[in-house]
Amino acid sequence: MKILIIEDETDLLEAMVDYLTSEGIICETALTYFKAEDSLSVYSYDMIILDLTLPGGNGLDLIKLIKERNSSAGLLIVSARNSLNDKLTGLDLGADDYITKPFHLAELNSRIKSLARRRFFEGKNELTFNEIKINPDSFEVTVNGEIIDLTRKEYDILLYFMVNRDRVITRESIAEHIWGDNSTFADNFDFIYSHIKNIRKKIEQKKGTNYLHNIYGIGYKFCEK
Amino acid sequence: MKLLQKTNRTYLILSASAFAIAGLLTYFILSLFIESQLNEKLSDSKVHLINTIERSGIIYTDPPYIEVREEPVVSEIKDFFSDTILFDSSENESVPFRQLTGTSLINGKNYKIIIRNTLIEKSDFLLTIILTTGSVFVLLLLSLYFINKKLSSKIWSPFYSILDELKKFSQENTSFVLTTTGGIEEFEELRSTLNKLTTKVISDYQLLKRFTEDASHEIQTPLSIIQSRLESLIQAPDLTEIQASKIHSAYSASARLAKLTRSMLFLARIENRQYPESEKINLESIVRSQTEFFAEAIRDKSISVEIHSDSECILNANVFLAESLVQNLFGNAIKHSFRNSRIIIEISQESFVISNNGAALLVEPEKLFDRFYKVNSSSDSFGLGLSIAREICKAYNWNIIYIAKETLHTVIIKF
Repeated sequence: MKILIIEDETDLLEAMVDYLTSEGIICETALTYFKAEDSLSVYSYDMIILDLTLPGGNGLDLIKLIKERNSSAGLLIVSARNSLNDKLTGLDLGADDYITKPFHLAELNSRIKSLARRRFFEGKNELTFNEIKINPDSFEVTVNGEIIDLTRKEYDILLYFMVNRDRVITRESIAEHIWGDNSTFADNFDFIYSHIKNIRKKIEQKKGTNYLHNIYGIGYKFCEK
Repeated sequence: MKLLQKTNRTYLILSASAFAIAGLLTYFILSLFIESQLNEKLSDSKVHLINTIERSGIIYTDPPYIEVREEPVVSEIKDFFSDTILFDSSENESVPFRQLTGTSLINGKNYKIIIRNTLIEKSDFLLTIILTTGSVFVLLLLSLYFINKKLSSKIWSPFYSILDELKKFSQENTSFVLTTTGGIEEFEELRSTLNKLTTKVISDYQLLKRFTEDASHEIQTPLSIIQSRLESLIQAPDLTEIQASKIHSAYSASARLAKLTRSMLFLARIENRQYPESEKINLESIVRSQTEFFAEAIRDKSISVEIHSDSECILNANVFLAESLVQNLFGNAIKHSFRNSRIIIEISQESFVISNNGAALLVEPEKLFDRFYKVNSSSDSFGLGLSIAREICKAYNWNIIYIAKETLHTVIIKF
């Protein structure tokens, strides 16, 4: 998958590129409005990540250009503005998703993957890790071919791990992923602990392996070992 | 004390003392004047009497007014005046007199002559003066009172209407201007000064609101960098536990800061009315979906949630704000509930009531709505949740109150 990241903050851009590259995504970058215009008129991308606040022009104008030149590309908007108006205008103009700064890289990755699944696999997009299979369309999880019954939040957490496998996922990032930005519970990690415990138990009940490893009490990593 | 009352009271005190002094002065001046008039008259009478006796040779007496007696004493007494009281048998009472006592040599004989004239009784005299000045005083007061009343309602009317206008002042109302005019210079000045003041207050307030929003925006990008950098550091494969925990504590702090700026931004947005889109919302369905959202937390604490809905509650509001409001209050209720307790939610067309059982509150419930107010200062929360709830209510003119009765906590929103 080849994506274009349009972002004016070099440091943030670098962090995003690092993370996504190691996910096997080919990243190209544009630091300014004009550079983005250039790249968009020459190359085609599977997905475009666009920061709305850009030097040299309004990111919302770029959306029109993207829709003209690269209409098949998925479009994820990044904004520090967090303004509902921007969000609505962006989505109206054809953006697929919207993420607000500051975000967790795992969250960004999860959004990109989810967007890619929706756009390119047309529903036939099971995620598989050894004996564990997730079907995001039917919200079904099977372990060794047997369906396990997860709650909505347990499902969300497992999917989040499956998308961000082999990475340390912090509790903060999980909490925000399932509770949202402004929740009273976003800083309450007890629930995450009990969710993870439940997921492990349910997987092990179907003779599955526990791939969820606790990392120094800062978070979890979903990996072989 | 009202202005009119105050002026009337001052008038009353001043004019009462002025009238008392005036009354006394009148009394003394009139007394002196009457006395000298009487003295003159008595002297005239004496001269007239002497002339009559000289001419006719008859000693004329008319007690008690005129008394003439032959006196053997040769020495001549100079005329002198005095006051005396004699019994008047016709009136059957003591009557005060002014009398002239003197001697006179008439046709070779020495006579003592006393001529008297009735005096007005002092008490009668005083009473008359008191009555006259008193009635003038009352008349004056009455007219002053009515004039004042009339004048103040007329002259002060711009003042009162400025006051009425000012009472409607709110920093939110950016177009606030005092419009009263009355053609009185002082009030015109008051009005223009107040207009300057309110404009300043409004613009400062707007600036402050903008500042919070801008500052929060500006913080977000550097925060993203910090957060994403730390996140990649955590991924390093050869990290020791000590290193990891140090990085994590920095990461947690930045995540907290991110949450804080987000909450502040959200608050500023609601204040700046940046959620204008509104639609018809069924409150009960929001509550039900939030029950699902909190399902695990509710189960975890073995809380039973009861939802009573008397009548359908349809609100005209922004979906996002309405959800945030319910989520906020519901989340709070769950967070602060005892284990195995009950949360009761009552929904009606007029109100939304949520109550739960939790530790008794040690402070005024009203304080909980203050920004950054925390009951427990070591708590991880920022103390912005209820401020956000109140700000959302304010945006729709809903009334939110928090009632704490021992362990029963109730939040009521009246639509």
